[in-house]
Formats: sequence, structure tokens, C-alpha cells
Amino acid sequence: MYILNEPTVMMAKIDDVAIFIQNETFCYYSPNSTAMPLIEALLAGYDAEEVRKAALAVGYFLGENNCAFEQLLEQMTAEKLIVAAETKGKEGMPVLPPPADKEEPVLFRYEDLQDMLALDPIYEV
Amino acid sequence: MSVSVIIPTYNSCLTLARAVNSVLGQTLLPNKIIVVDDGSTDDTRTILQKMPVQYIYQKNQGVSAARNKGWSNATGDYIAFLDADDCWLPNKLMCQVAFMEKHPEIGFCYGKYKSMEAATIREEGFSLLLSGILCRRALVETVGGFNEDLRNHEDTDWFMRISDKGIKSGKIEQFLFVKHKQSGSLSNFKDAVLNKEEFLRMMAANIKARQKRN
Repeated sequence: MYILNEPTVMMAKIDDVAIFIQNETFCYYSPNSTAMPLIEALLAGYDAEEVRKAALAVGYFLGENNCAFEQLLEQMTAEKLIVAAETKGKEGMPVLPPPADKEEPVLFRYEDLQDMLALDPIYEV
Repeated sequence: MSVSVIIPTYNSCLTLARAVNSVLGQTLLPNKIIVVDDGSTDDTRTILQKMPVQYIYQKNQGVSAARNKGWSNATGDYIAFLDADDCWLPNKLMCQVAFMEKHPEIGFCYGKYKSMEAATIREEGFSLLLSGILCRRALVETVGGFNEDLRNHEDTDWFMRISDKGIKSGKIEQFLFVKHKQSGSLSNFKDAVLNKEEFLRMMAANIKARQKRN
């Protein structure tokens, strides 16, 4: 199972927008509407493979080779947004909402505030 | 080439004269100094009476509204902001104007600061705090003013909108201003943590606006 890499990473979901702020790289991220339920299921403690199966079962588009979820997972671990946890997670498949659209899951990465977040002590959040 | 300086102030009569004097002591003087009094109840008006500034009073509406009011009265090709509790180092404007004239492709520039508590330097380094930037008037016209709904992080919101427009900035390797920390006040860190939700909310709103445009 995976957990949020706290306190390095701060995450919030406000209205229908989720945001991750990585306080080491000062990049910030936002998942599209397909990625968000998958990430929420992961962070709720479900096994990654079970999340993938659940996504396919309710019709999520996971890319041409069904590997977009693995890529999302790789990106999130490579950027240290989430880390593998030793503890046992939830059993079984998560119940995912129907896909909001036909896009594959994407986590957008933004670098435009790196200077500001990194340089100004006032932004040490 | 002309520069307008905007100083928003609210009950800062103890530090305001120092701020204004640091502008008057510049090696390159601005054409206009606009002090926007955001509904102060202290001696702000009295202190400014003998100073060569344009004094504008408004009922308390927050720092964003005060800066926007200043901007709407600014006439310079360049606009600089200064918070009433900060002060500039003497070459600040001269360095920045020379830099901007040399680099027409950038929209604003910033440099180094020193953070002082009493007479002790607490921190120093580069800063994007508004007291240290100089921007083109055209930038403000393109991006718009500060979000008056935000009581905190309005500057981050503004910089995000600048970034979203693809406007470039320039970094100057010189000390430009001094940020004075008030003894006993919350640290910047604590202040940011207390305002975390508002900070995240502001960032999420910007992301949503970008997603809509794209």
C-alpha cells in the first residue's frame, strides 16, 4: 500500500481540484478527473493492483496498453509524492465512481512557483 | 522612463516614515510615491503631511485593494511596491531600472533581501516579496491587479497569474531591500501554516482557471 509522503508533501482537495505540493522540489501537481479517484483509492489503503482492476471494471480508460495507471504510480513514487508503507492495507477492490470522462489518468506537474516557494521563507508551508 | 512607487499601509505609523525615507533616499528617484492608507486609525495621515507623497485614504479593504488603488493612480512606465514595514536599500531602483532597460523581454525583476529583527540580520537571500520587485506597467495591465478576495497569499496568486501568461522575470544579484521582523510577531513559517488552507485554496483556484482555459 501507499501513503502520502508527509510532511514533505502537502495535499488538499478543494471543490473538485486536488493539489499536491512537494516541499523538497517546490513543484506542485494536480491530477485530472480520471486520476483523482484512483489516487484517492490508493491513499485510502487499497492495493495498487486492486485499484487498477477496479478502474478497468467500471470502464476507466487506462491508455492504449492499459498502462497509464502504472505510469501514474511511477510518477508519484519517483516524485516522492507517495511512498510504499509496510503496514497492511485494505482488502479487496475499491468502489470507484464511474469515470468522469474518457481521458487516461494524468498528473499535471507545475514548476512555475519553484523560485517563489523555494526562495521565500514566507512560503515555507 | 518613469517609476511610480506604491506603499499600502495600515496602522503602520511607527515604520512608515522609514519606508518613505528609504524611497526618498534612492540614487534614482521615482516620479511618484503613492501611499494608500487602508483605513488607519493611528497617526499615519499626520506623519505623511510633510512628505512629498500622494496620499490616498480608503476605508479598510485589505492590502490587495490598497495596492490596486495605488496602481490605478500610478503613471510610471515601471511600478514598484513597498510594504510600510520594509525599506529599500539606496541603489534599489537604479539597479532595477537599469536591468529592466537592458532586458526588455522580462516583465519584472527581483533581487536579494535581508531580514532584520532589531539590529540583527536573521536571514538573507533572494526574495520575490513584493517590496523587492520592479515591474513594467504593461505587466500589471496584462495580468490585472491583486485578488481583493484574498487576505493572504495575494502575492502568490498574482505571481501565478504572471507565470500563467508566460511572462519572464529577471534575478539581480544584489541586495535591494530590508524586511523588518517585528519582535514577538508570528514567524513567517507559523503565519504560512496558519494560512495553509487559504494558500491551498488560492492555488487550487488558479489551477482550475488554467484547466478551464486549456
